[in-house]
Amino acid sequence: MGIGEGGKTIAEMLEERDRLIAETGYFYGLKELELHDEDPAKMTRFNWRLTNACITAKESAKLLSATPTVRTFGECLFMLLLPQGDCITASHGLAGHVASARDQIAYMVRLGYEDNPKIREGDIFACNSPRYGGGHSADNYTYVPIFHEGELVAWAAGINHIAEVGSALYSASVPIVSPTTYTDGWAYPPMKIGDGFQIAKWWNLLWKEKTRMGNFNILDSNMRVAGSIMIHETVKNVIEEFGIDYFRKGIREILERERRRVETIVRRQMIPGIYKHAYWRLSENKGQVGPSFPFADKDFPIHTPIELHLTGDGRFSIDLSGTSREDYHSWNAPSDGTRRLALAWWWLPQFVHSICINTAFDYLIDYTIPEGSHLNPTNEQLSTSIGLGGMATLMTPLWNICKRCFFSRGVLEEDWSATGCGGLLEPEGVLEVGVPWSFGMFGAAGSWSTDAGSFRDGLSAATCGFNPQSDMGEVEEWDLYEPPLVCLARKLPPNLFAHGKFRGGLGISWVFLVVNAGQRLSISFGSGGGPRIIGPAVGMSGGYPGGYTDWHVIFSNTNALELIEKGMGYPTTLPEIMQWINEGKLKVGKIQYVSGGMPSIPLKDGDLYVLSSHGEAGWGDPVERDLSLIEKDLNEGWMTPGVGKDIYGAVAQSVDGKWQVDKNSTNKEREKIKQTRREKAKPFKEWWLEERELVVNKEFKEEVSYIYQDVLGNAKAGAQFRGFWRVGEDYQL
Amino acid sequence: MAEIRSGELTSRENIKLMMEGKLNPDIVNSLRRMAIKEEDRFWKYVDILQEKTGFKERILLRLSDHLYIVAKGDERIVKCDCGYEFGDYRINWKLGSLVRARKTTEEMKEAYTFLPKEMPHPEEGLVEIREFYCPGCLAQLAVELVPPGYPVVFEMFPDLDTFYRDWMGQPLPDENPEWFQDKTLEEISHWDIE
Repeated sequence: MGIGEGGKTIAEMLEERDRLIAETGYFYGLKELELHDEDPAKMTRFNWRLTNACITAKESAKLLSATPTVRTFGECLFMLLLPQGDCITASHGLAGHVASARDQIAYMVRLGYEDNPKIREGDIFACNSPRYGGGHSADNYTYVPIFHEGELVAWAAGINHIAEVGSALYSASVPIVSPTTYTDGWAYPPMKIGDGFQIAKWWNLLWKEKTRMGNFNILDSNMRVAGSIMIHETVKNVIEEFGIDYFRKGIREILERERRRVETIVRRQMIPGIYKHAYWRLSENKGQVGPSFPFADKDFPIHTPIELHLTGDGRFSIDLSGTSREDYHSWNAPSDGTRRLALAWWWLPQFVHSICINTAFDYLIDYTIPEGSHLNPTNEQLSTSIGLGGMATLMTPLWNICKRCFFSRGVLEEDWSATGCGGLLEPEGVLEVGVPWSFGMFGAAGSWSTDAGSFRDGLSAATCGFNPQSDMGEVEEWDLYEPPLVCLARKLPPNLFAHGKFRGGLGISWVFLVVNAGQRLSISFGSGGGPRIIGPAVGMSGGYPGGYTDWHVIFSNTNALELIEKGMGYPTTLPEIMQWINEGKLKVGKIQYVSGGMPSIPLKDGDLYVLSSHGEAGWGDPVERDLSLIEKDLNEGWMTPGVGKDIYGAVAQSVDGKWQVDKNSTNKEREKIKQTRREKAKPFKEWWLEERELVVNKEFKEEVSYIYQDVLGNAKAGAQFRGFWRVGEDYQL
Repeated sequence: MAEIRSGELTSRENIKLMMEGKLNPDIVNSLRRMAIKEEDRFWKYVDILQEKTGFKERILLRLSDHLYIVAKGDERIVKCDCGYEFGDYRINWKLGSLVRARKTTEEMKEAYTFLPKEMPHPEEGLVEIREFYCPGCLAQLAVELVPPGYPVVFEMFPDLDTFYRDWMGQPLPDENPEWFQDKTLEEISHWDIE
C-alpha cells in the first residue's frame, strides 16, 4: 500500500505520469481541461489561491532570514509541487529551482524513501547536493509533504542561497576553486531533518559544525521550514474548500494548461531550425589549490559547443557533443536536476509568461550530453561546488538563440539577453573582538546590465539573469554585514560595455575602503571567466561580444584613511583613484589587478578595493550608431571621446562644455574605418587556407589542444571539425 | 499615456516605429507584456522589410540587420540589403564574407575598451576575435570570439518549409526536404587546398 492516490506508491505515480505524457503528448494525458472549461472563474480562483500561498510564504518567511541576500535580493523561492515533484506554481524569486525540485523528489523515490525513512505527515526533508538534483551546495532545499487522509497529495518546498557552505580552501557560498568533492564544503543528500513539523536538534548542530556561518544558516533553514509549513496550511484549507477531487485534478490541469501556453508562445516567436553556438571559459585554478592537489594545479578550459534543433512539433533538442571532459575543477554538473535547473534559467524568462511559475516547459526539452564530460561526469571524486555553473553557461547562448529567432519573427520587443557575469563578493575575517564572520554580497549579482537589442541600448545595472526578482540592495545594509568593507561609491564608469549600433548596458563599479579590518580580513569573488579569454558573450548582428567583465583592483598601503580624517574627501571611481595617485594626493604601496573569479586575497586597514562588472554585448555595426546617441554617451560621461572616434568613427568636440559630434567629419572617419576593414580583412577562402595551416600543423596552445581533444574524441563534433578543416579522419591532437 | 486598444498596439505602424527605435518606450513595454503575441506579426514584419529593402525577390526570413534569405528564381539565397548576394542559404553565409581575425592582444584591446589598460587582457593564441564583413558594403555582419582553429559557427539554419507550412499555415511553393540540408561542409569539400 503506497502513500499516493488510490494506494499507489509515488514510484508508481511517477511511472504513470511519464507513461501518459509519452502516450498522449498531454500532461498526465489531459486532452481536455474540464475544470477550466466548466468554470474558468473557479479555476482561476483555485490557481491564485495556490500561487498566493507561495508568494505569501515567501514574503512572510523571508523576514526570518538573517541576510539581505534573501530579504532584499530575494534569493529564495517557495513552491507547490505535485507528489511526483513537478512544480505547479511558485512564489517570485529564485525561479530556476522549480526545475531541480522535480529531480530531488525523484531521487527520494528511487532511493526508496517511501519505505525508509518513510514519508509521513509532519516530516521535513532537506537536500543541497548537486549529486541528488541540487544546483550547488549554497542552494538549500526544504520539503514538507502535504497529506490528505493519509494520501500524499503535494509537497510544499522552500529554497534559498545560504551565506556560507564550509568549503575547505576559503570561506564562500560559491567557492570557485575546489579541486575535489572533499573540498567542496557541506553537501548533503535528501535527508529527513525533522518530524511533527519540528526540526531535529542535531540539524542545527550540523550547521554550526560544518559551516563558518552556522547561525546565519540555521536562521535560513528555519525560514525555509516556516514558509513550507505556511504553504502546507493554506493547501489544507484549499482542499477543504474545493474538495480533494478538484484539487488532484486541478493541479494537473494547471500544468497541462501551462504546457499549451508555452507551446503557443514558442510557435508565435521561434522558428524551427538548427542553431549553433560556441561557448567556453577557463577555470583558472593554477596557483590556487596548494601543494596537496597537484592534479588540479592548472587552468582548465571548459568548452561547450551547443547545437539546438527546434523541431516542427515545438520540441527543443539540445546536443552538446564535443563538450569538455570532466576534470578537477568546480564546474562539474552531476545530476539531471543540476542540468535542468540551469536550463530553466534560459526558458523561464523567455517563455513562461504566466501567473504561475511552473515546470511545464521542461517537458519540451531533450538533451544529449556526452558521458564523462563536465556536464555529465562519472567520477564521483570531482568537485561540484558550482555544479550548476557549468551548465548555466548555456544561458547566454540559449538566450541569444531565442533573441535571434524573435528578431527574425519581428518580435523585437522580446530582446532580453545578458552575459551572465556578476558574481558574489565574499569577504571573511575575524573582528578585533575575536568574532569570526563571513558573508556573500549580492550587489554585483543583482545589477546585471543587459545586451543591446535590435532597436535600443542594453539596460544598465538593472537585472539578474538567474533571479527575476533581483535587486542590487542598499549599500548601507550590505555594509552592515561586512563591517570592515565600507562602500564609498557605486557608479557607472565610462566605456564599460561592448560596442555596436546599439551598445551593451553600462557596467557598474564599486569602490570599497577597508576600515577596522580586525584580526584578519580577506575577500574572494565567485564568478566565471578570467583575464585570459574574457568570455564569449555573443554580440548580435555585428555588435561586439561582451564578456566576463568582473574585474578587481586592490590598492594596498594607502593613505586614504588619513585623507578622509583631514577632510580631503575620497575618490569614487578607478579613473579618479588613478588621477589622485598621479597628482600625488593618494599614496599607494601596491596595486593588484585581478579579472573574473577571484580566490581569497587578504586586505588591511586603508586598502581600497574597486570592483567592476557587466560589460554587455552590442547589437549591430558600431559605425552605424546614431550620432545623437553618441553625443548623449559623451555628455553623460559614459563614453570617452577617444573610444567614440576609434570604434564609432564619431568626431566630437566640446563646445561650452557640451560634446557635439560633427556629421561630415564623422562620415569621413567612418569611411576610413571601412577602408581599414577592407585592408585588414581577407576573402573567407584565403583566410581559411591560412588558418588551415595552423590546424594541420597543430600549432595550438595547451589549453586549446585540450578543447579540441574532446571535440575530436566525439564522433559527431569530431566529424564536423575534421570536415570543416579538411583534415583526415585520423587527425588527432 | 493614452489608452491603447490592442489592435492599435500591434499595428503595422507601431511595429515599424519599434524597428526604427522610435516607438514610445511605454508602448514597447505594452508589447512586451503581451504574453502571447498576435498571430500576424511575422507577415506585418516581412511586409515592412520588403518595403524597406526594396528587394524584388520575396523575403523569406530576416537573419540580421543587413542579411535576408530571399527566394530568387528557384534558389533561396542570403542577400545583404546593399544588394550583395552570398549564395545558397544552406551554406553558412560567412564563407562568402571578408574576415578579419584580431589575433594579438593589442588588436583585441582595440575592440574591447571595458578593461582598464593596466588589466590583463585576452591572450594571444588562446582566443581571437573574428569580424565578418560584407564584401559589398563592408558592414560588420557578425563577430565571433573563439579559440584559434575553431570552425566558423553556422549560427542559424532555419527549417523554412516546416516553418511556413506547419507554423504559419502558408506552405512555400517549392517545398523540398533538400532545403533543410546543411551544405557548408560539402561546399568546403570542393575547395582546392593545394
